[in-house]
Amino acid sequence: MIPKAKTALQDLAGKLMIGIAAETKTTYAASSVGMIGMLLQCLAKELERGVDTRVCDIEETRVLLTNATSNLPQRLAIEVDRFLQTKPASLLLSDVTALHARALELVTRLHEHAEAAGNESLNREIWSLLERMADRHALDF
Amino acid sequence: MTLARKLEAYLRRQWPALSGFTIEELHQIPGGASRETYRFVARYTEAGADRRKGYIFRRDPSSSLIDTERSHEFRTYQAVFGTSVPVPEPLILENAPGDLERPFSVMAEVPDCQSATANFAVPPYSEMRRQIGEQKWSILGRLSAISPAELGVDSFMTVVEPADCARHELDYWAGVIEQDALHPQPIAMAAIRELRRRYPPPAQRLCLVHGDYRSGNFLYDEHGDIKAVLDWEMAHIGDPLEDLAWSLDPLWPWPDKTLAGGLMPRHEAITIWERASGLRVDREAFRWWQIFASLKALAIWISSSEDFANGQTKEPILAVAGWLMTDRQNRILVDRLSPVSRHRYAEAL
Repeated sequence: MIPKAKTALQDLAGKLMIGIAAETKTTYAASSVGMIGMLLQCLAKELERGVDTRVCDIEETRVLLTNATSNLPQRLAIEVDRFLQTKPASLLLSDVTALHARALELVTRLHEHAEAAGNESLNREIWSLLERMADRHALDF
Repeated sequence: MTLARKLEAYLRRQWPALSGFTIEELHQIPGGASRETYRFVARYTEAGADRRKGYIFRRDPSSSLIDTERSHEFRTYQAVFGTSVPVPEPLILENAPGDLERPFSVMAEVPDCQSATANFAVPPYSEMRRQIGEQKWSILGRLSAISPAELGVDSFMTVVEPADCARHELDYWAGVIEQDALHPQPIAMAAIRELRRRYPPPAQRLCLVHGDYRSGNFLYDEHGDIKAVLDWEMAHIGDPLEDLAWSLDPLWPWPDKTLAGGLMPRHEAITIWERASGLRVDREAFRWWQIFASLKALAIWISSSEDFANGQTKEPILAVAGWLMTDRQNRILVDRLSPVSRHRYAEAL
C-alpha cells in the first residue's frame, strides 16, 4: 500500500512530464506524454478530494432544498423529499457520484422553478451554490 | 507496408507528373484534435527540376472532439482558398482510402510557421502581439464581409434566415449537451434557458462563420504575420457576431482575461473587426453571442468527455478537453450569468 496515493500520482506525473517527455522522438509523442502527465495530476487531485467535493456539493444542495421546500410543485416536492432522506450507498466514489448526480438534477429542476416563479432570492442562492460548486471542482495548477 | 509507403504509393498514382515522388519523413503532429494530423516531406522532379515540399495529411480517427464531415471542411478550404482570408491549399480529398484505411485529405504545408499561443507571452512574439492581433481580427472582419454566395459555400451548407441563426445554432449545441452529458450540467442548462429567453435580433448579414476562430487556429511566421487560418470543420453560414464572440471567449487566454486571445484588449479587437467588416457590434446581440460562445465550447468539452469515455480512441486531448476545459468553461459561464457574479474569469457583458 502507498498511503499517500495523491503524492504517488503526482510523482508519476512529474516523471512523465520532466523525465520521459524529453526522451520522446516526435512532437506528437511529447505532447501526448505532457497531456497524460497533466491528467495524472488531475487524477491525483480527484483521488484526494473526489469524495469530499461531491459530499460538500450534496450537503449544500440539501440545505438549499430544505430551505426551498415551500411552494414547490407537488412532483418536485416529492422528489426533493425523497432526496433529503437518501444517503450514498457507500463512500465509494461511484456511489457518491451517483447521489451527486441526483443532487445536480434537483438543482436544475429547482432553478427552472425559481426562474418560472420569478423568485429572485432563490435564483441568487442557486447561482451562489453553482459558483461554490464550480470553485470546489476547479483544477488549477 | 508503413503508412508513409502506403501514402507514397497513393500519391504516385494521383500525381503521375511528379516523377520520382518519394516521402522522406512522415510524423504525426499534435493539434487538429478532430483528425489525426501528420506532416510529411516529399521529394520529386517536376518539369526537370528537383523539388522538396511539405504537406499535411489529415486522416479520420475513430473518435474526435467534433463529429464533422471531412468533405464539408475540405470544400470550405476550397471555397476560401484564394480569397483575402489565407488558408492552406487543399489538394486531395479521399473518401475511399483503400490501403490507407480511413478517409483523409492532403493539403500543402504552410512552411516556417507555428500556431502555439504560449509564444504570445514571451519574446520575441510578445512584442508582436498587437501586430498579430490586428491581422487576426482584420482577417475575421474580411471573412464577415464576404457573402456566402460569393464564396459558393451556399451550395453545400445550410442557408438559414438571418432571424434564425441564433436559434439554429443553439438548438444544435443544446442537443449535443443533452445527448453527450455523462453527468448533470446545471450551469449549461441555466445558460440554455437564458439564451432561449432572449434571442438576439436578426443577423445584420449572413456570412461564412469559421466556427472555431481563435488563437491556436492560425499559423503565424517569425515576423508575426498570419499566413493561414486552420480548422474549418465547424464552418457554417450564420451571424458574423458568432465568430467574433468565440474569438473573445475568456477561455482562450486563460487565466488572463485582459488580453483577448492573448493578444490585445477586447475593445481594440472589436474596433478592428468593425473596421474590417463594416459592421457594428450591437451590445445586446453581442451579449447573447458571448454567452452562446461559452455554452458551445462547454458542449464541445462535454462531448469530448463522452468520446473519451465511450469512444474507441483514447487520445489524451479528449480527456484534457473533457476535464480541464469543462471545469474552466463552467466557471466562465457562472461569471457570465450569475446575478451575484464577481467576474473573476469573465468580464461583465
